[in-house]
Amino acid sequence: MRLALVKGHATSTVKHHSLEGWRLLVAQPVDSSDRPDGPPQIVLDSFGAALHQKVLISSDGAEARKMVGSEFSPARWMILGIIDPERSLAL
Amino acid sequence: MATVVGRVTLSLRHPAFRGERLLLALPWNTTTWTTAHAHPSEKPATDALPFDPSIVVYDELGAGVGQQIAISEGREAACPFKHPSPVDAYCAALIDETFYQETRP
Repeated sequence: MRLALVKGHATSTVKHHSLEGWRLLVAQPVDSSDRPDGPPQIVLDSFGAALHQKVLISSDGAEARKMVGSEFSPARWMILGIIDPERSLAL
Repeated sequence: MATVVGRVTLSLRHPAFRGERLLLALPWNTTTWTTAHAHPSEKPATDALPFDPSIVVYDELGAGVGQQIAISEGREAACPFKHPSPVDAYCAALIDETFYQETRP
């Protein structure tokens, strides 16, 4: 799992059928001091995360496949939750 | 995310690769995104986008050269296949447009 900042979104009409209807956000994985750490990923969003919001993303495809409801889906990165900035502590 | 730059055709192939369509694609990194969406005034002189090293992507959606695609890498790339497949990079979507904003205005 990675901390990531939502930096944008992507739209796609021609895609794998299991991804139909899913919001595709661009999430930039960041380190504990919010510096980019690794390439931005296209993630499936089911929480309606806003631009520049900090989210928790995961590359566990099994959960993503369950979420989209197709065992043949290439879905991989997905948002697990939205970080609560006040109650999160980075030493 | 990646940009398609070419096609790959095999003369001899792994048995699992029947009727495969392979693309040569350049994966995007953070600088690719920021350069692609930079304000015209901040755009670098050369319009070449910096990419990560190229990879070969299995494609079933018919992506053309120059097209932007969303790729799935790793074990998930082999999921769309009924039979076990050695594919580790799969074209999951043809991207129409992207919006990217580095920092809050």
